[in-house]
Amino acid sequence: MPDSALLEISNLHVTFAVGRRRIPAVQGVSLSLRSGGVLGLVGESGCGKSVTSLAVMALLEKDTASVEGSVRLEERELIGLPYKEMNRLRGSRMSMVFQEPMTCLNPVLTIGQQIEEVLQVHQNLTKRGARDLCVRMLAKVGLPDPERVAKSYPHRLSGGQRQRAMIASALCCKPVLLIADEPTTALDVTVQSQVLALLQELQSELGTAILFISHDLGVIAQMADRVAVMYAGRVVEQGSTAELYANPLHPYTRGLLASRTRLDDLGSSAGRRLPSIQGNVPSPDQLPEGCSFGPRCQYCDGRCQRGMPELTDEGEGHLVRCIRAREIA
Amino acid sequence: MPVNPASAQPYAPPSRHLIKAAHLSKSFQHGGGFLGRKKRFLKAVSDVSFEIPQGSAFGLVGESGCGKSTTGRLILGLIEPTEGTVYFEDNLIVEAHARKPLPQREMLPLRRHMQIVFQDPFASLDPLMNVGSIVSEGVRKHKLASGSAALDIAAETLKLCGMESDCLRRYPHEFSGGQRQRICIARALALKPKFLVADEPIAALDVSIQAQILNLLVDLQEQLQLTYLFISHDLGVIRRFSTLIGVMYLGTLVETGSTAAVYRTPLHPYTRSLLSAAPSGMPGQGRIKPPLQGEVPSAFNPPAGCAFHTRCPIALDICKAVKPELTDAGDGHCVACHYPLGSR
Repeated sequence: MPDSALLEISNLHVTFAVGRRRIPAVQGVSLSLRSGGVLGLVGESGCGKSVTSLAVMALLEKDTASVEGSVRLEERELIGLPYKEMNRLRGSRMSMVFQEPMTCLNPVLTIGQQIEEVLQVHQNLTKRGARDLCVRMLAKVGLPDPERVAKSYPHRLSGGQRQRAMIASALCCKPVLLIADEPTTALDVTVQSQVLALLQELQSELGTAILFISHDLGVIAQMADRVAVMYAGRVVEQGSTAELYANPLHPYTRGLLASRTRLDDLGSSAGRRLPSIQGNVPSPDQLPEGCSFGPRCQYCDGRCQRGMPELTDEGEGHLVRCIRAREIA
Repeated sequence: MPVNPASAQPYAPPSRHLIKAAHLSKSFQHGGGFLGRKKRFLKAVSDVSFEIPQGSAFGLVGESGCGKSTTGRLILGLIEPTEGTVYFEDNLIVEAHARKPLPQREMLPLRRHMQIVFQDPFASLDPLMNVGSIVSEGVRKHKLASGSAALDIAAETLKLCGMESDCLRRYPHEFSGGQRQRICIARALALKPKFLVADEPIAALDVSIQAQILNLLVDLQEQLQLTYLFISHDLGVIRRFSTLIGVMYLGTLVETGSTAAVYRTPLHPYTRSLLSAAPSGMPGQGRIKPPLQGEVPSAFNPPAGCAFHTRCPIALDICKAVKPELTDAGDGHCVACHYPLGSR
């Protein structure tokens, strides 16, 4: 496989203007996603993972958010692309699945109308052709009785069915990139595993690359081949999933992995207490001096407060933003 | 007292129960208003019985809509059951169609001992009250203390929950989610209750904060000898936290027992599916194989017989017709299934 990346985000900055204040939500994020790969983006609420994805799709309000840096899809710069050209890419080359399908599907249009619209706009299909393809797509995402689903309004479907319909709509034009922003967070575990299995299946069949955003390390482990961990607007660690889970280097990643409740951890004398990260997530307009994780970090010393550490390669593409990573490992 | 080395649980629950719920059912009416819509009944909880021994943590687990939160509210008498009774210690506190309901003046002193922490700390704190009044309100209502003495109790409880004492005069919006949940816990504990219902207390919190709050609940249980009903959809959390577990599906309790036994040898096919659907958390597991197809049926029109038969991989004819009773399969490990796993 050629090494050229499908999606190349470099030095992305997103700043929100709230009144007179300027709030940095994303600060210098660089990510790359190869064709057909799955990149997991993990972090807590407010860490900038969703803002990053919205910036890629150019879905941020121009009046309040300023986006700087570069986002290249198939070697084409997306930042600054005129609205019309961006619209031609959205839905056909790149598309997105959101957390809560009810807020993303139009409640006054049938599922069929919404998917057919995508097909008619991007693929110049006739009404008839769009209808046929829509029903085939709904069948493909595992919806029973796709003809009936196409004629249904979103509120008639269950949460899992709506998410399947969203996926059908996102993938009907066979995009090269799918951004899935917490696609299973609103679903129950048994339905979550169905939707994840569906995404895996479609991904390998269509060869779509996925930027998979989640706060759930368990889900990321199942889905992604590479992972980037974000904290307070920056990537703090990045690497292949296997390497990062086996050998986490950043104290934040280590803390997150250690504080997980796992199904297989009883039996040992682990007890009921979990190792936990102290303190609270800093708000983006009140970031501490130096390393943002410093105040919550058990390894923090004077050097950490002097400046934000650089993201450095600790070997084989395992990047970490911590000056003490090697000492504490 | 004889010591059983096999039960190396952190808490060996004493046999005495604090809460006893028997045959609890709750239907909510939907429609049937003056607009003449058809009246329908949503069966949220049907025939749920369990006991919570003194000092234990009972975990109630299930998917959304299975009736676990309704069960929590029924036990506290926050909503009235359609059928069934609840005992707190030896007091009958909840009784369906009671000819003579428990009068307020007898219920109020008991209420003090039964508190609840809700899922969303952003919705469960009054934004117009400062933290001091929020936490001390119950203390004043129950006349345990008044004025500055009530505030002292509030400050003490907040400190116990890991909050600085300068928070008394501040307002909820000044705090993060994790801190707000600590305030909610302090509000519940200021009355020195015996029993606490924690309804998804960490589901709305950030991942790095969840462990803090769980550890706090564990510490408080040990310090104050609390008994918990812990409601969660997260099997990993329940496994860590609870000594006893009840698995609910579509309003019915399908399996109960000690947490260790249920996780080691699940007897109900639904429990096994839930356990294998949860992400293992380790990379390199290959393709995901969903253990169950379909979704939970509507509670307006639950299936006849066993509620799970529409999704059960091993359902037979009898499952479609006869509802299985919750029966003891040994050592207090109960299951409601005609063909429990391992029995074939």
